[in-house]
Amino acid sequence: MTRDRPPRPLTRLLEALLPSGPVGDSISGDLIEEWHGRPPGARRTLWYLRVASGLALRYGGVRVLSVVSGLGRAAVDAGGATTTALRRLRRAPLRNALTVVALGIGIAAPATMFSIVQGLTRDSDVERPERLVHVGARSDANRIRATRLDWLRPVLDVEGFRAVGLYSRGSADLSGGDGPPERHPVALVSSGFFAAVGVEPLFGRVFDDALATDADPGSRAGPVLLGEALWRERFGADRDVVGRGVRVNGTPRTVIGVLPERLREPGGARLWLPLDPDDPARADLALHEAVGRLADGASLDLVRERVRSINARLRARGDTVPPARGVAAQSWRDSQIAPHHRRMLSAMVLVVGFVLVIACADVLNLLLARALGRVRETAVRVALGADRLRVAGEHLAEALALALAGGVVGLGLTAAAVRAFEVGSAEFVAHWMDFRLDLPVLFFGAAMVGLAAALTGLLPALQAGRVDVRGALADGGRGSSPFRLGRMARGLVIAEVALSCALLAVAGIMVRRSRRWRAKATSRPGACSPPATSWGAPSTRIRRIAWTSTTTSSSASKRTRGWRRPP
Amino acid sequence: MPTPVFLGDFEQLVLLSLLQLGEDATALALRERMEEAADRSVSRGALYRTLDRLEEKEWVAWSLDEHDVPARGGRPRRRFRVTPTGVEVLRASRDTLRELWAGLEGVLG
Repeated sequence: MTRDRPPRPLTRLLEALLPSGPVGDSISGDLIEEWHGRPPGARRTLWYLRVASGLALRYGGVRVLSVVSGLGRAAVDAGGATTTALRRLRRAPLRNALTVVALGIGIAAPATMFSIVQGLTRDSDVERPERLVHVGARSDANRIRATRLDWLRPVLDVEGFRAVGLYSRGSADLSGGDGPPERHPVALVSSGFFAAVGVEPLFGRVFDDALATDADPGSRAGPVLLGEALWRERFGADRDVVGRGVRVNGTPRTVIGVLPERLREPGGARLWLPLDPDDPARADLALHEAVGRLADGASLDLVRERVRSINARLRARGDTVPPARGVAAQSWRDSQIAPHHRRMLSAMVLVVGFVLVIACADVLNLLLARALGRVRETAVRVALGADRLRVAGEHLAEALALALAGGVVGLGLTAAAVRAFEVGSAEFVAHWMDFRLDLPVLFFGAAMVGLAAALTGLLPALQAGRVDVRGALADGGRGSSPFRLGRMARGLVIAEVALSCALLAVAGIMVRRSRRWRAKATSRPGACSPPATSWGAPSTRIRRIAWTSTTTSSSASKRTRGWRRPP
Repeated sequence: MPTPVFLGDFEQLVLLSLLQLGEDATALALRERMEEAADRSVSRGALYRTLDRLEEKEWVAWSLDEHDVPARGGRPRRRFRVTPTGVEVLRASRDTLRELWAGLEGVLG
């Protein structure tokens, strides 16, 4: 038996493109027969390559053309099927409106959850956030929270940072410009802060080392930086604002620059004041954190190790640093929202997706019943020569039209729900959390519409496409469906009830968890409430300390509870 | 009476060659015969696609060879024949052409 045969891969490719069955086999056989009739050698192989690839191209082209023309025919059919489906939907407007609302709620639930998760886990608007490190004191929940300034001061000398800045949050009354005095979120930042977060001023300059001591060499007043929104609202976007005098908590200050709107770190600040890392008056105030940008080639682990070593030096000099609450560092992203919370939130999207499945089960039941009621009509049409694919396509188009309308309703409900969440959660969400209907949410909504159409439309379409013409015409459409609707309807109802129970149980667990989470969130610095002072200074003393007379304890006034994002 | 049909040059060549080959009309033999008759190279792709098209029009039919040829690696061999409809079409085409040729001897020689 000879092993002399043409190159196999090409033969396989050719046979894949040739018509199936004896036609393709015989063409391939002709070529192999010719191969054996030629003298062996490279020329024969080249000949085969040329001839086989020519045939493959020719038949491949034929296949492509047939697919294209098939798609064209399908598009024309789909147009007709959609028109018929829409005409049918108009016959029962109330029932269909209820169906659309049900689907809308089903689509809105996961879309809202997705939008909220997106908002919670979105990176803050700083340059390359993956290279940012958050430094402060380790908290119980393995989080970073504010700590004493003198404990954080050594962080400025840690190797491995390209830039590092200390900061503290608060609020202050601003007067000057147009309008009465207003209270605004304020950040005190040391000179390296802006380089660390990677933000440059729109115009003017930021604090340098000289300005960070709160003494502007050009004027007797200390410097202040304005946020872009505040500059537009209060100063009418006047570029001559630089050099103008304002009062912050009654203290005169000179505006030295305006920062872009995208910078909302830290604490949704609208005003920035300089922080002197060596200010003895603030040394033991546990109100400070640091943000550092890793130098090229430096790893987070290395920097964390070096930051941790600060604790030993603090103890060596006699400070009583609690073992579990020393200075620590972690990635800025993890600091914003812990990885296990990210996973939990993603799981919640899936859980809330059950609402859509329940709504789809309901609608599927309805469409199946409707398809069953039309069995005789379908059978007559098929008997008269209607294409089964077209008949099935009409049912699918009906489901798609309902799902699309549900998607529109769902989008409106999602927008309202997200807005309600934003308003309701303003007190406890952090300032970088931004909830909006952006492109990923819209894509998610579109995917939900597709899923709803598939879940509700495929089975009725299949049922209509497989209708037994003879049986349906003989018994008037009763019992000729390939599906037993009664059993299926019962199954769907059982599934709906089971899913609803599961959803209720999960919702209960989530509510309990979110209450606990919220309680933790309100005690977290940067999220809202007063920074921990358990081993720092009492808040009464904070009020006495004069950092430009600005009160840093948010518990001092109910108005300042929670750093609301700028309106 | 069949509708007058204008056969394409290549289709006519295929049908006539098939009739000439009779029982021996395999694709390989057909191509060889056509190349001899027309004194030009015949593309395999064009030949097979034309045979497919003629089969769709029911002017050509084929049957599988009962004998297994080892040199074909177990693949079947088709033998083609012109159907009565195909013969009719050829005849009609010939008549049409004859009519058109008539009286042109002075011009075409």
